[in-house]
Amino acid sequence: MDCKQCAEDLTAFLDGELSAADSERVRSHLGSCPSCSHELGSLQETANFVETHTRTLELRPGSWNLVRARITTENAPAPSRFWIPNRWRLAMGALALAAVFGLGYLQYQHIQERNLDLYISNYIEQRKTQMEAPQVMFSGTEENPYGNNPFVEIKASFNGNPFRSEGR
Amino acid sequence: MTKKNLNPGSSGIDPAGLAKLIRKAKKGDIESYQEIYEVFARKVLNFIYRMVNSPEEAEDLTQETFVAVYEKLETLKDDSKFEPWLFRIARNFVYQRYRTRSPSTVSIDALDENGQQVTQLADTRKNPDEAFQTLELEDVVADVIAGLPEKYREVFTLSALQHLSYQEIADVVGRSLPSIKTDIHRARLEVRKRVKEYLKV
Repeated sequence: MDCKQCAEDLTAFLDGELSAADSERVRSHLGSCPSCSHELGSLQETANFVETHTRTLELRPGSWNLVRARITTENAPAPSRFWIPNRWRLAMGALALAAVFGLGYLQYQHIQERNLDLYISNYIEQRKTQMEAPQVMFSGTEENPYGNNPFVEIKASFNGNPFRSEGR
Repeated sequence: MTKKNLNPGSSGIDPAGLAKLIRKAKKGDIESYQEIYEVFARKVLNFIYRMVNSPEEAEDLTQETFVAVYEKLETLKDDSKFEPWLFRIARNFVYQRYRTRSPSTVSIDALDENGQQVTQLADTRKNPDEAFQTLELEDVVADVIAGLPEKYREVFTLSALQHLSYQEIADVVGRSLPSIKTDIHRARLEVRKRVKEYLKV
């Protein structure tokens, strides 16, 4: 083990985070390296200084009561049997929304088709009525008796005029 | 020298006893949950305090953490991982609240509306002179920790002050063990650089 590797492991060594084998290697290097031993001492001194001079907060008396009041009124442990992870809830919500939109669109299409059928059948019915309506001939001098009836086709006659024909 | 020798656990409760309390709390036993609170609340409070640098915010977030923990306790699969899970939730609350703004610099002596100190400090001072010097050095250490980059501050606090193992810290912050080991080492070097001139005091 060289000094660079030892220096990198010193904090973990101080914290007892190295394996037994690695700790032994560091310990062995420290035994023969005054520089790394000094580095270890310096790190230890810093750790002690920080720990000694770290301001610590104490819980305020009655702090538990505040927590307790909230967990007994607001919350209860979630029942595991029906608990659904949040990501599944999101996916299920998206699916439900898509289903609602899909069904709505199908219903809209259905209504449109029904309206078109109704319109076509009405149109056919209207045309049939028009075709069956009586054709009335009148001279144009007398009053048109069907003037206000939209279902009666009115044709004027132009007796005696050879230059005028019906439809012009 | 090594914190890992401090069995049973840095929280001072044996794992079997803690597992039993967790099992009972999962079934809705409030008294068991109170015991868990009494074991861990102070640690969580101080961790959050280091992160947000405000006693009243730390107290508020600690309360939020323990309400959320009770609510989600049923989802904890491995009871032996309770402590890192707890700190992870606390950390999430810290980041939720402080994502868009830098940590507060409210004074430790902040008073509430009744003129009382919001959160009590542990009193370890002996005489006025000593107390004055201790206070000054406490300010130095607090400033040094608060001045660390966020990434280093949380791993430093969790390792040097809350004495979590590196694996537990990796679980809390969601990073790999080698990355945690490197960051803790760099954080310690940074702290040493900043407190060097005070070491002789």
